[in-house]
Amino acid sequence: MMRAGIRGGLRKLARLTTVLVAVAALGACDMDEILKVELPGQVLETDLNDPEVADLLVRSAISALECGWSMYSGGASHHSDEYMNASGNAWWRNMGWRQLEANDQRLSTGECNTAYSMYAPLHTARFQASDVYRRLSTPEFAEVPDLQSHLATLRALGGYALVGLGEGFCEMTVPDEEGVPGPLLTPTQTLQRAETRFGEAITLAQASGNDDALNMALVGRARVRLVLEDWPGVIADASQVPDGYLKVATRGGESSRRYNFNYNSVNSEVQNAHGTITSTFHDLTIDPVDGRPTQAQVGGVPDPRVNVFNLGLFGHNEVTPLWHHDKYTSRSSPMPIASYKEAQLFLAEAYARTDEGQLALDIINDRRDELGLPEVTYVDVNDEDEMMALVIEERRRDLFVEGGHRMNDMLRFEGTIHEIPWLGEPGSIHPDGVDSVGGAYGDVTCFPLPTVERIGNPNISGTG
Amino acid sequence: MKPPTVLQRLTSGAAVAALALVFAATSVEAQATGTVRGTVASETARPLVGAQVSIPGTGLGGLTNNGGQFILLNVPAGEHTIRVETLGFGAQERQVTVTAGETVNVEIRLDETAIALDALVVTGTAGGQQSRALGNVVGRVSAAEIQAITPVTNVTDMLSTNVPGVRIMASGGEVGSGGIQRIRGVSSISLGAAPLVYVDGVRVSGGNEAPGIGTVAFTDGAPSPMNDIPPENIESIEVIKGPAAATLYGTEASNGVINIITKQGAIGEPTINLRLRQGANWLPDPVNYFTPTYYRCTGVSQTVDVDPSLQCNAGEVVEVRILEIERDLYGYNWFRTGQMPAIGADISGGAGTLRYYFSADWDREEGYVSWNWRNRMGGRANLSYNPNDQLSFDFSLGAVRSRAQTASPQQAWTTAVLWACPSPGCEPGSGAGSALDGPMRGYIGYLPERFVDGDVQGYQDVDRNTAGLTVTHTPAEWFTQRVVFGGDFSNLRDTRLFRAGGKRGMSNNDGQRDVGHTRSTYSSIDYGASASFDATSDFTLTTSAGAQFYRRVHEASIATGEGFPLEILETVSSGAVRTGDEEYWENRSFGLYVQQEIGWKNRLFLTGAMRGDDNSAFGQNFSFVTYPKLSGSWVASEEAFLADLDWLSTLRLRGAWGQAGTQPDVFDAVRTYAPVDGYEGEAAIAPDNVGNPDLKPEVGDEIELGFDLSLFNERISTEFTYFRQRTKDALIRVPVLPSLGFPGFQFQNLGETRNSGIEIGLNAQAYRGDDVSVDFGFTLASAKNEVVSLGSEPFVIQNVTEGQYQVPGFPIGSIFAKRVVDADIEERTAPLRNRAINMMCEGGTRVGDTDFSSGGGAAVPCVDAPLVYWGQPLPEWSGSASSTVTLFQNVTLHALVDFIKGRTWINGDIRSAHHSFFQTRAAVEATDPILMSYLTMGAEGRPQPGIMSGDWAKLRTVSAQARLPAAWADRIGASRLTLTVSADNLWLIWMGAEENFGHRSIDPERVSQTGGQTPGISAVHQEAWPMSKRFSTTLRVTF
Repeated sequence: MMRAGIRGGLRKLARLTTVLVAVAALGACDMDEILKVELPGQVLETDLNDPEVADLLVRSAISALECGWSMYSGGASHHSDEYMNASGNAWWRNMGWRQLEANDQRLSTGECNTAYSMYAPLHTARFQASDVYRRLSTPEFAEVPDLQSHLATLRALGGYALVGLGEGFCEMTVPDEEGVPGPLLTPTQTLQRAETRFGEAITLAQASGNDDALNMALVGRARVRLVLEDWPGVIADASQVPDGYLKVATRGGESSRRYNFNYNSVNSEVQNAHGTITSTFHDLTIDPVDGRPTQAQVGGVPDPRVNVFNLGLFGHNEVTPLWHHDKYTSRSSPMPIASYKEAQLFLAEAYARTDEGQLALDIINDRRDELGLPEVTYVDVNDEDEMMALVIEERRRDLFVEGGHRMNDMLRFEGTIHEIPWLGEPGSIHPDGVDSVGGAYGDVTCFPLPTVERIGNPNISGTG
Repeated sequence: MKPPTVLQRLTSGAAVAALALVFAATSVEAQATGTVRGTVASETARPLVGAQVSIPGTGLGGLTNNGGQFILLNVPAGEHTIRVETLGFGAQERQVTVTAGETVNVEIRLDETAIALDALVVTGTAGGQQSRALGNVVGRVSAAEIQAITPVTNVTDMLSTNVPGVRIMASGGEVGSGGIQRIRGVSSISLGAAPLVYVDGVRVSGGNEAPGIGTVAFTDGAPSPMNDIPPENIESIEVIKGPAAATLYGTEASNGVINIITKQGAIGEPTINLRLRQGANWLPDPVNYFTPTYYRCTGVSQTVDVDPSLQCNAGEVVEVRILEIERDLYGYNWFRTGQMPAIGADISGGAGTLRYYFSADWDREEGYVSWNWRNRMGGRANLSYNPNDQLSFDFSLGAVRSRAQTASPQQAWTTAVLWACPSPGCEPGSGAGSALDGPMRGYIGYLPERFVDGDVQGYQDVDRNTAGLTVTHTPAEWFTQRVVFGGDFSNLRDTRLFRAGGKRGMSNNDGQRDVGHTRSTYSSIDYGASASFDATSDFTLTTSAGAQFYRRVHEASIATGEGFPLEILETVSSGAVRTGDEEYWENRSFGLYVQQEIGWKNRLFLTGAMRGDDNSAFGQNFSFVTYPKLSGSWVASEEAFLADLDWLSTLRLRGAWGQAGTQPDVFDAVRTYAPVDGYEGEAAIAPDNVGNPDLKPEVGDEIELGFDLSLFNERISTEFTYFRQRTKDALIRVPVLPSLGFPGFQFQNLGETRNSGIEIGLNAQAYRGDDVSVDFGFTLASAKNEVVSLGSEPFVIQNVTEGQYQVPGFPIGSIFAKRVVDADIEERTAPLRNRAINMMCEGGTRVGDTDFSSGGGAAVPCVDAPLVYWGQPLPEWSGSASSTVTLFQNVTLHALVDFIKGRTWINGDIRSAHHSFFQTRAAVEATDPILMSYLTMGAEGRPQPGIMSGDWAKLRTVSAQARLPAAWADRIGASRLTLTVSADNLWLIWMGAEENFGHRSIDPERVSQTGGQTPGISAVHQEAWPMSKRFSTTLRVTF
C-alpha cells in the first residue's frame, strides 16, 4: 500500500517535473532578449566612438566649461566681498557667511544645474576637454575636418577649468591619467598644469590658425602666470592679445545649467534674491581732478564699470535690502572668460611689479580714456605699492563679477601690504564678525578640497 | 488516507448544503416543518459571507449570502442545534425551537479567532498555502472589519496600527499626501524600504517609488499610489514581512510584500450595500497651537501709528502670536473645518457558474485650509466564472479617478507662521519687509492670501486602472496550476501655477506654470503549479513551481513656462521662457521558483524552496541570482501529549530562514551620458552616470522564529516572532570622485547591515456575557538595525548638512554632531549678539580613523571634538493597545492608542527658529551658553538645536458602532442599518520631548519622504502641516 502510494507519487512527480522542465526551458530561452530594455533617453559610452559625433563632442566640452565657469564666477563673487548674504536658506548663508565646509554636499558633489557647485562642474569640464581630446586623437577620428583646431580649443578649455580649480581652492587633485585618482596638489601645482594645457593649446592653435583658441589660451596663460608671479611670462602672453578680444560663456534662460549665475543670485529683481551687492561697491566714483578712485564723492564722476541700484526690494531673508548691478541683465547675459580688457590689466600689474610703473599707468589711463573717465594723475609711478593699489582698485572695478578676479586678488594678497579684508574681518564692513542680521562669519578663504575627494582618493586619504 | 482538512470539510459541506437547500426548497415534506432564518455576523456586526450554517444530524444546511443571511426551509418542528462555522472565526452553536408552519429568526455572532491555522494565505504559490504549514508569520488585516468599526479614508491608515512590525509614517496632515511604508524597519542603506504591493495577485505600483519629474504638485509628501484603492473595496490585506517569507517573490521583495485581496461575490441572491459618510477635519485652536516667536524691541514701534498692542518698550523680549494678531486686528481666520462626505454602493451575488461583485465609491476629503482637498471616485468589478470543477476564471478590474489640490504647492504655509518675525524681528516701524506693519505683516516667506486667492496652486489628477485575470486549472485533485495576467496602468497629471504679479510670496512672482504627466505601467505574467500527494497515510508532499515575468515602464514629461505678461494667464505657452523635459525608463525581471513542502500528520511541515531571478538592472558582468529558503511549522497542540490540556487551544511553533533581494535602480549599472543644453543653446552631452558593470542586487538573509499560542478556548491568543536579518552585498552609494569627471554616485555592493527585533501580538477576550463583551488587543514590535560594514568606505555621508551618516557599528542614518557640554557667554552690545567662548564638547573614543564617536569621555575643546552619536531616525519600538466593548450585541465601542519609541529626529522647525531666524526666546535672550555655542559654531552647530526625541503616544481612534433597530431598516426595505461614529487623533498623550531650549514642539508624528539616499530615513523634518483631528459618521445600509 505504502509502496503503491510512493510509486503513484513518483509518477505524479515525474509529470510535474516535466512541466517544470518546460517552464525552466522557457525561462532559459534567450533571457537576454526577454530582459532587453529600451534606453531612448540615454547616451551610452560606446555611442561616442563615432567620428560623426566629433562636433557634438567638442560642443559638449565647450558647454561643460561654460557651465563650470558660470558656477565658479558666481560662487567666487558670493564668497568674496563682491556679494554679501541676503538669504535665510542655510546653504546660501553658509556661502555668504564664509562657513562653507569641506563636506558641504553642494560644494562636494553638486552638479551643473545647482548654483555654485563649482568643484564637480569644473572637474567635469576638465575631464570632458581631456576625454574628447583623447577620443579625437585616435585614428578613428583622423579624418575629422579641422581636427587640429578642435584639439587647440579643447586644450584651452581644459586650461580654464584648471584655472578655476587652481585659483579658488586651497588644495586640489587632478588625475595624471583619466579615470585614475590623482595626487594632492597645491594651487601652484594646479596652475602649473593649467599653464601646460595653455601652452599645448597655443602650439596647436598657431599650427591650425585657430585665433580664438590662441587668444583664449594667451589670456589664460597670462592669468596663471600672474598668480605664479612670472612677470615676463605675463607680459609675453598678455601683450599678444589683440584689442577687442573677448571670449564669453554663452548663457541662456532655458535651463538652470545655462543660467548666468552671477546674475541669477543677486540681480533677479522679481525673486527674493539670496545675495546682494556689498556696500563697498555702491556709488563708486572717480575724482574729476586727479582720477583717484573714490566712493560717493560729491562732485565725483560716476564710475560706469560698477553700476549698482536699488529697487526697494528685500532679500530672501526678508530683511536685507537688495542691491543690483547692471553688468548682466538676465540669466542669458554672456559671461566673459577671457578678454583684452583683463589682459591689459595683467600687463599693468606685471609692469607695476617690474619697475615699469609708467607703462602700467599708461594702460590704466588708456582704459580710462576709453570709458570717458578722468585720467589718473595722483600716483607716483615709481612707487610700486601705490601703483599696485591702483591696479588692484582698477581690477576691482573693471573686472567686477567677471570670473573670480576679485576672489583671486583677496587670496593672492593675503598677508601682504595689499591685503583685502574678507567680510567679517577687521577693516571690512562687518568688522566684528557679524553681519546686519546677526549672522556670524566663518573663516573660510579659499574653498576647501571637498571631503568626498579627500576620503575617497587613495592618494590623499588621511591628509588634511 | 489523510483526513479531510477543515477547508475540505467546508468545501464539501458547502456543496452538500447547497444541494440540501435545493432539495429542501423543491421537495414536499409530509411532516410538520418550520423555517429557520437568520444572520451571521462578526462581533462587530459585520455580516459574514459564505459561513456554513447547518443542523447536525438533519442534512439541512446552507451558506450565508453577501448580507450574511441564511434560510433553512423544512426544518422538522422541535428543538434543534444550529451550528455555524467559517474560516477565521470560532464555530458556534445555538439552540432553537422550531414550530410547524412558523419561522424562527436567529442572529449569531462569531468571535474572530486570532490563530486561523487552516486559513489559506497568499504566499506566491498557486492556490496559496495553509497558515499552519508556514514557517513564518503573515500579518493579516481584516479590512472589512476595520471599515465597520473605525472607517478610514486610506489604505495606508489600515496597516499602521494593526500588524506588528508594519508602520506607516505620516509625512504630515495634508489631505492627499502619502506616508512612508516600512515593514520591520529598514535594512537597506541606499535603497528604499517600500514593500511590493499586489492586488488580487497582480503586481501594482504602491510603494515609495520615485515619482519622477511628473510630480510637481505635492512638495510636502507625494501621494501614495496604494491610497488610490478605495478602502471599501478591500476584503483583507496580508503582509509578508521579510526575506524569509518573501523568498518566492524574489528580487525586490526583501522589504516584504503586501497582498491586497478585494471583495468577491458569493452564490446567492444579490446583496446591495450602501454607505454614506460625513465628517469633519480640523486643527484645533490654531492661534495657540503654533509656537509663538520672539524678538527684542528697539522701541521704534512707539514712534509709528500702529495698534497699541503692537507697540513695545525698548529692550523687552516681545512674544508674537502671528495668528492672534491676524485674528484680532484684521479679522482673519485662515483655518477652517473641512468636510469629509462620501457615498458608495456595491452589489454582489452569484448564480450557477458566475459570481460577481460591483462597487462604486465617491468621496471628498477637505483639509483644514481652504486650498486643500481631494475628490476620489473608484469602481471595481470582480467576476468569477467556474465552467466546471476543474477550471475557474477570476477577472478583476479596478478603476480610480481622483483630483487633489495640494496644500503645499511650494512649501507648507505653516512655514510662514512657525518662522514669523525672523531676526532682527518684526517690530512695527523697523522698515523690515517682515515687520508687522510691513508688506509681509510679520510672516516670513508667504502671506496666506497667496494660497487662499490662488496666486499659487497645485493639483494632481490620477487616472488609474488595474486589471487582472486569474485562470486556475485543477485537472486532478492532486494538481493545480494557475496563471495570472495583470496590468496596472496609472496616469498622473500634476500641475502647478504661480500667477504673475502675486507679490505675496518670496518667489516665482513673475508667473510660472508646470504641467507634468507621468505614466506608469506594470505588466505581469505569473504562472504557478502545485502538486500534492500522500506518500503514506502520514506524509503529504506538495511540490510547487512557477515563473514570473514583470515589465515596468515609466514615462514622464514636464513642461514649464515662466514669465507671464499678465496675471490672468495660466498656461505653459503664456510664459516668455518655456522648457520641457521627458523621462523614459523600463525594467524587466524574470524569475523561476521551485518549492517542496513535506507534511506529517497535517501538523508538522517542512518546506524548502529556491528562487532564481534575472533583471535588466543587473550589471552586464552579473547574470543571475538565486535565493534559497527553508522553513518549518509544528502544530504542537494537536499532538496527543498536549491534546488533553483543556486550557491550551492552539500552540504552533514555527521557524524560517530565507533570502530575498532588492534590486538596484534601472540605470545604476550602465555608464551613460545625458543630453543637455549646450553651447549657444545647441544640443550637447555631459557625463551622467558612471555605472558599475558588476552591479548585483543586495540580498536580505533572514531567520525568523516564533510561536502562535491561544489559551482557554481561544480567549487569550498571542503570536510572538523574533527575526534577525542580515543584508549582504548591500548597495552603497559611493560618491564618485568628482575629479574623475563624472558626477553623483556609483552603486557598489560593498556593505552589510543587520536588523533584528521582536513582534508580539496579543488578543484577549476579557469578558464574554450575553449583553456585554470586552476585548483587548496589544501589539508591540521592535527593529534594531546596525551598519556592519561599508566595505572600503570608513563612513558614508547621508546628509552632511543635517549631520546624518552611515557609520559601521551604529544604526542606519545615525545622527552625529558635536555636543557642547560647557561654554561661557561673551556679552556684546546690540545689535551684536552674544556669543559663546571657551566651548568644550563631549569627547570619547573615535571609531577608527574617523571623526565619529559614541560620546562620553573627557570634554575637549570643541574645535578638536569628534562628531558624537545622538540617536537614530527610525523608531526602535512601536506598538498599539486597543479595547473593544460590545453591548447588547448591537453597540460596539472601540479605542486605540499607538506609540513609537526610540526615534531621534531633528525638528527642523525648532532648529531653524533657533539657528537660522533667531526668533526663539532663547535665541533672542542669548544667555544659554549651550545654545549660543551651537549658534556661534555656525554650520557645525546647525542640527543640534533641533535634535530631540521623536517619541510619542497618541489616542489614535475612538469609535462607536451601533446596529439600528430592525424596524428602521424594514421601513426602507433594508435588512440592516448600522451607524458608526469615529474620531481620530484626539489626544497627543505623550511626547518624548516637548521642547528644545525652551521652544515648544508641536507634533513629532511627521517624517520626511526624502532623505538623501534612502527615502524615509531622513531625521530632519520641517515645514509640514500638523496632523489634524477628524470626526466622521458613517451609515451603512444592507438590502
